[in-house]
Amino acid sequence: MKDMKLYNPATKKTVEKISSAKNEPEWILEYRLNSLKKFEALRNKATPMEKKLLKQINYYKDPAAKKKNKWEDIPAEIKETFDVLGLPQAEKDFLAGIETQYNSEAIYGSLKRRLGKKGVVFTNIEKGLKNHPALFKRYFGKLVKPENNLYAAANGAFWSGGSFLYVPSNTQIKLPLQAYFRIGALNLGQFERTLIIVEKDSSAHYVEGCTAPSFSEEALHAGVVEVFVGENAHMRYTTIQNWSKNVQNMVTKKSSVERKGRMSWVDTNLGSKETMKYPSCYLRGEGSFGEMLSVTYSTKGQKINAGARMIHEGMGTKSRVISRSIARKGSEANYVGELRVEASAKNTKAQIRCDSLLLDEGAKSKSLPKLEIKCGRSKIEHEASATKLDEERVNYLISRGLTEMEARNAIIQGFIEPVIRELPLEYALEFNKLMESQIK
Amino acid sequence: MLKIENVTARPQDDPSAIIKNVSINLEKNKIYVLMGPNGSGKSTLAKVIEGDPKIILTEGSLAYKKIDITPKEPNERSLMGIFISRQNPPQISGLNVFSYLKLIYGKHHKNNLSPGEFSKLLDSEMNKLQLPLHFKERYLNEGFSGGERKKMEILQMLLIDPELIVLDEIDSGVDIDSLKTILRFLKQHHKRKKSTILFITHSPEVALKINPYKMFVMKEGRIVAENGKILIERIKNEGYETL
Repeated sequence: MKDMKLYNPATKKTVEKISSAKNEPEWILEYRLNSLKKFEALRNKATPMEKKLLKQINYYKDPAAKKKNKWEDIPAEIKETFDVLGLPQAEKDFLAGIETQYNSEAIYGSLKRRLGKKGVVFTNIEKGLKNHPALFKRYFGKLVKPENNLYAAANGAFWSGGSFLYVPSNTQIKLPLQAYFRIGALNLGQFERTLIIVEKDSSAHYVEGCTAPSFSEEALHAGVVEVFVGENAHMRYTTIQNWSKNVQNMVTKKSSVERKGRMSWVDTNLGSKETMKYPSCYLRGEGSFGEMLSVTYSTKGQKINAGARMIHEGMGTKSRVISRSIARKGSEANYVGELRVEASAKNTKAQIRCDSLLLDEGAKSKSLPKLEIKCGRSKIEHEASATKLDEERVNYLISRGLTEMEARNAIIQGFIEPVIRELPLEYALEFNKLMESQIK
Repeated sequence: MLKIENVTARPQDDPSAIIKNVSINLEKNKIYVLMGPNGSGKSTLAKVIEGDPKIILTEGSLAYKKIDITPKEPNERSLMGIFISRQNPPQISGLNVFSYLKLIYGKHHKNNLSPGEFSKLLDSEMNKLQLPLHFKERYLNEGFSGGERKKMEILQMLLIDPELIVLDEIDSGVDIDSLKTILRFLKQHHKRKKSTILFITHSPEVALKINPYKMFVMKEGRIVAENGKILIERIKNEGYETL
C-alpha cells in the first residue's frame, strides 16, 4: 500500500524537492533536471515491464533517521541484518569506518581519527558535496552519464544517499572501508550515488555489502558508482550483493585509471530477482591495469547478468576478468561483458575467463563478451566453459566419508574459491555461509 | 573380513567391464593380489566394494565383518573402515588440501584435533611420504603428477586408518622410488593395524614384491584362478592366455 504522504513520483517537483531539502548548489539541480529529461526520453523506449516497475517506485524518501555515530545507537533492525551476516560485534574495531544506509539516508559511523588526520575523507555523498565542492565540480558525473542507460538517468535525477571517499596522494589505507546498504521501506527506489577518488601513489579498499528483507512488491536498486584511480594508485571495490528476491538491481559502475594505476572490482552476487551489472575500467594511463573478479549464484526465479567492461585506451594496459557463475533451478546466470581496445592502446594484454557450473537441467548460462579490437598489436585471450557438477568428483569425496551434501558443497565452493579468496576473510566466511544456506 | 558372494555387476558407463558371479573371501590381516588382462573387470570389482553408484549390482551380496553392506552407501562403507584408492584420482579445483584432509580425518576419528595438532600429524606423515609440505595449501590433485596423486591417496588412507584396503593400480604412473615408499608404508600400516589389503596390479614384479598370502586372476569378468605366489611366477612367464 502506498502511503501518499511519503510517495514521490518521477516528476520535476520531486527533483526540486530533493534538491532543496539537501540545499544543493544550482549546478547540481541543473544536473538533476537534465538527467530527468534523459530519463523521460529513455523511459519512452523502455519495455512494458520496466515501465510498470518505474510507475510503482517511490523516487524519494525523506530522512527517516538522524545520523548517529556510535554502534550502540544504530537501530536494532540494522543490527539484526549484521547478525544474519554473522558480523561479530568485536569486529567493529577492525573496521576503518562504518556507514549504514537506512531509508535511503545514510547513518554514518565513526571514521577513525587516524584516517582523518591523513586527510582521508569518508562520508556520505551529501556532506561530501557540501564540504568539497571543487572535487565534485571536477569529478561528479564525469564517468557515468545520464544518457548511458535508463537507470543511470533515474539515478542522476533522484540520487540520494551513498558514499564519498577521498584519499589524498601518498596515503595507504590498509583496512577495508565498509559500507552496508539496505532497503528499509516499501517500494523504495534506492538511487545511491558513490564517488571515490584515489589520488597518486595511494591505495584503498572499499567494501559494500547488501542485504534486504522481503517485500511484497517490486523494489528497485539503481545505484551509480564512479571511481577515479590516480597515477600509480591502487583501488579495490568489493561488493557482496544479497538483495531479497524481489529486487531489481540495475547498477552502473565505472572507473577510470591513470598511468600505472590499478583498479579491481570484486563482485559477488547472491540475491535480487534480476541483476544487470557491468562494472567498467577505462584504462587511460600507460601501463594501467583493470581487473574484475566475479561470482554469481542464482536460483529459482533469478536472472543475473554480470560482467565487466574493459576499455583499453593507454599503451601497455592490461586487463583480467575471471567470472564464475553457479546456476540452479531454472535460473539464468550470464556473463555479459565488453572488451574494447582502442587504436592508441598498443601492446595491450587482456584476458577473459568465464566458467559456469550448472547444478541441474533447467539452469542456463551464456557467455556474451563483445570484443572490439582496433589495435592489432594486442594479446587477447578469451575462454568460456559451462559444465555440470561432475558426479565422479562428488562420488570420489563421498567414498572418503563425506555426505553427498558435503561433497557437493566442497566442489561448488572450490569452483568459486579463486574469487572468494580475494574477499576479506569475514566476508568470505559470510558468503560461504549464505550460499550453503541456499543450497540446502 | 570381506566376503563377496556370487556378485554380478556392470558399470553404467562401460557395459563391457561386466563382472560375473564373482565370489572371494578376504581374511583379516592378510594381503591379496588381484591380476588380470585389461578390461577383465578388476576395477569394476574395486568399485563394487566401494559401493560406486554407477555400478549396477544385479546379483549377489557383500558382507564386511559379517555385516551385509550391499545396501550401504559409499560414505557409510568408508566410515566402517573400507578404503578404496582410485586408479585415477580426480582433481578438485579450489578444494584446499589441508581443510579437506582435516575434514576426512574428523569423519573417521573421535578425538577432535585442533588445527595445530592436526597440522603436526599431517606434517609428519607427509614428510615420511616425501610429499612437500606446501602441498597442504594447494588444491586437491590440481597440477599433481601421477605419482603425487597416488601418494595423496596413500596419505588419505593413513589419515582414515582403514581396516580393509583396496588399491586399484597404485603402482601405475608411479616412479620406482615413489613406489618403494608407498609399498613400505603399506607394509607398516598392515603390520600395525592388521589390515586386510587387496592389491590390484598389472605387474608380476610388483606382485612378487608384495608377497601376498593369496592371489586371484580375473579374466572376462570371472575369477579364473586363485593360488599362492606360484601363480604370479606362471603369469610372469606365460601371461594370462593359458589360464
